[in-house]
Amino acid sequence: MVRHRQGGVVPLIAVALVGCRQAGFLDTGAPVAPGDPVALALPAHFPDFPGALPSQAEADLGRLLFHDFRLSVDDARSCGICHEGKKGYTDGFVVAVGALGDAHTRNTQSLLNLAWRGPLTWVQPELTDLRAQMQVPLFGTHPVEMGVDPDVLPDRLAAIEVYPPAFAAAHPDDPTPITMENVERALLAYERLFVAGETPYDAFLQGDADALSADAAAGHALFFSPRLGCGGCHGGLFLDRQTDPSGALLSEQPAYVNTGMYNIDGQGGLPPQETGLHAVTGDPADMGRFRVPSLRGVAETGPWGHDGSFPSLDDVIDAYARGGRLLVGGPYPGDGATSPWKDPRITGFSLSQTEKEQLIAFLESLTDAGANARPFLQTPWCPDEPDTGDAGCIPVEG
Amino acid sequence: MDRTTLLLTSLLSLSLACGEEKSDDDDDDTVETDTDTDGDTDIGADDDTDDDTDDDTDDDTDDDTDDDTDDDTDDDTDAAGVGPDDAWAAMGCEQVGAAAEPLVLGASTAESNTAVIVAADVGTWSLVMPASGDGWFTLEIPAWMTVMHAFTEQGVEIEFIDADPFTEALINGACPDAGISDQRLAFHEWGAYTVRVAEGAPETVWFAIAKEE
Repeated sequence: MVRHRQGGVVPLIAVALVGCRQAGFLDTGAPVAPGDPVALALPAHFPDFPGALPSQAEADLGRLLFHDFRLSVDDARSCGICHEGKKGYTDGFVVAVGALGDAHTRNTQSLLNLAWRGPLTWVQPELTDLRAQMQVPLFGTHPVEMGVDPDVLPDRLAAIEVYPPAFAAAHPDDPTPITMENVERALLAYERLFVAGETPYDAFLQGDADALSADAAAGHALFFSPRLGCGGCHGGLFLDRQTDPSGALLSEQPAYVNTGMYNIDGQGGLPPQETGLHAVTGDPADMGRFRVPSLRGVAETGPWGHDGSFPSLDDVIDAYARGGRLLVGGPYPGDGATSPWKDPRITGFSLSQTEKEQLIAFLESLTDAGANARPFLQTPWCPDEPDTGDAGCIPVEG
Repeated sequence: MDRTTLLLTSLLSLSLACGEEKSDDDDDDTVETDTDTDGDTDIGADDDTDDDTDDDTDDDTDDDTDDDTDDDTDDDTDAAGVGPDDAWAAMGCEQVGAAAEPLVLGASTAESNTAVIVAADVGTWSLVMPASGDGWFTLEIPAWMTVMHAFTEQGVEIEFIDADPFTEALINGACPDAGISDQRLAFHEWGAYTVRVAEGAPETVWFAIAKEE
């Protein structure tokens, strides 16, 4: 288990972090004072940033909190460890496992481009408030994810030397800024800055005809072809909105779709622990309907599916090509292709091995390879290994 | 480097780093490991070894056998060797009579993620093999640098893909007559590991794990 180095912290480090006039994390080169909005340079083809940009100080505070293992009951989980940059801001698990070892029922979703996400989670169309959503992983008990006690955390943070100046910088007019509300606001501010829009596909969208490899370009054509029709649900800039055959958006809201993953009883049943939108609405027609996820960064976010039950993108494509997944073994056998609740657009298609590889090449072109290296997205905390020479990181006190 | 020097160095570097692009990602807070991906975990006790485990077994059980298991090819004794008689092995013995949770295995790698075990400290399962072929499941390891013992019936071959086996599947030294094997493995990173139960196993396979602290 990774543990942080123990020991005291010199307050000057905190002051330096908070007061650092750093370049914008998308490298605008513009210095930013702590009270100024972050210098967010969005890709030109992205829509405006929804809402107000946070101050640099609030985003810095959010960065500290997001990567701090002490925001969990066992000091072993941070937000950032379950939404890890190298894994497309997911965790690599089939289903998430909480700090106390509780298995969850769904696969961890990516935080990329969260500011434009709209409805959150796999099955809650009404949930668009990120602050409300983050209370589930922070405080939830069924199951425990991080297991934070909201009555204890502010006092604990107040005793960690780096935090009082960081909170004060983020809330200069607040005499008692270390509150759970401000913790949540800072996390929200930071998470909304995970912008990934510098992919080969983005360059292609902006007019660079050579940005996609030959295979990816062929895969792009297949993806949006009437034969495959992937773009019907994975359309729009973030590849999570329904579009018509011309590519025009049919709705500003994402769809909730039963893709024929399960049919455990011959009547379209799903594993009982996760039945989709049906669990929220009680409507039988919502059985197995889950939010269409964005495909940005999809090559890094495996395993796939709302429950992580697809080990590879090959398996995902095979299921779509078949018009629904056939499970011969395992706890939930059945032929999803014959589910009565399956979306009528999932009809199957033929695909050669070469075409499958091209389709995957296109999906891989949706990865912003540079996003993970941006300094602002790295943890500010020192790793546990003794003196790794990681100059600039903040040692963790006990 | 003493602590004061470290902190001052950190402060100086932090100040200098303001606005600087940092190209590497070495400060990620996960453990960087050299995950062994060779996958050549030659697991499973040979059927022909029952009468050939007398002399060498004690020598093989008191030390790490990770390096020398592949080298000892002069005979098959290691493949059927007796593992250590220690607390971990004893935990495997204790699981023999414990209630086993049934788990129907997937029939292909594509189905492995539909059958998931989250590695608790100790647990026992009754793995139900598919009608034909290998059985597949996924073992979720929720902590870095997990060292775990996997126990199953002697003669059953279980492959933990991408794990790093310290030993082969040895006869459990704490209860050598119980008919169960004991394999010690490392899982360097947390995450989901695919597990294959080789075709030819009984219809239901007893399987247990015990994590080392």
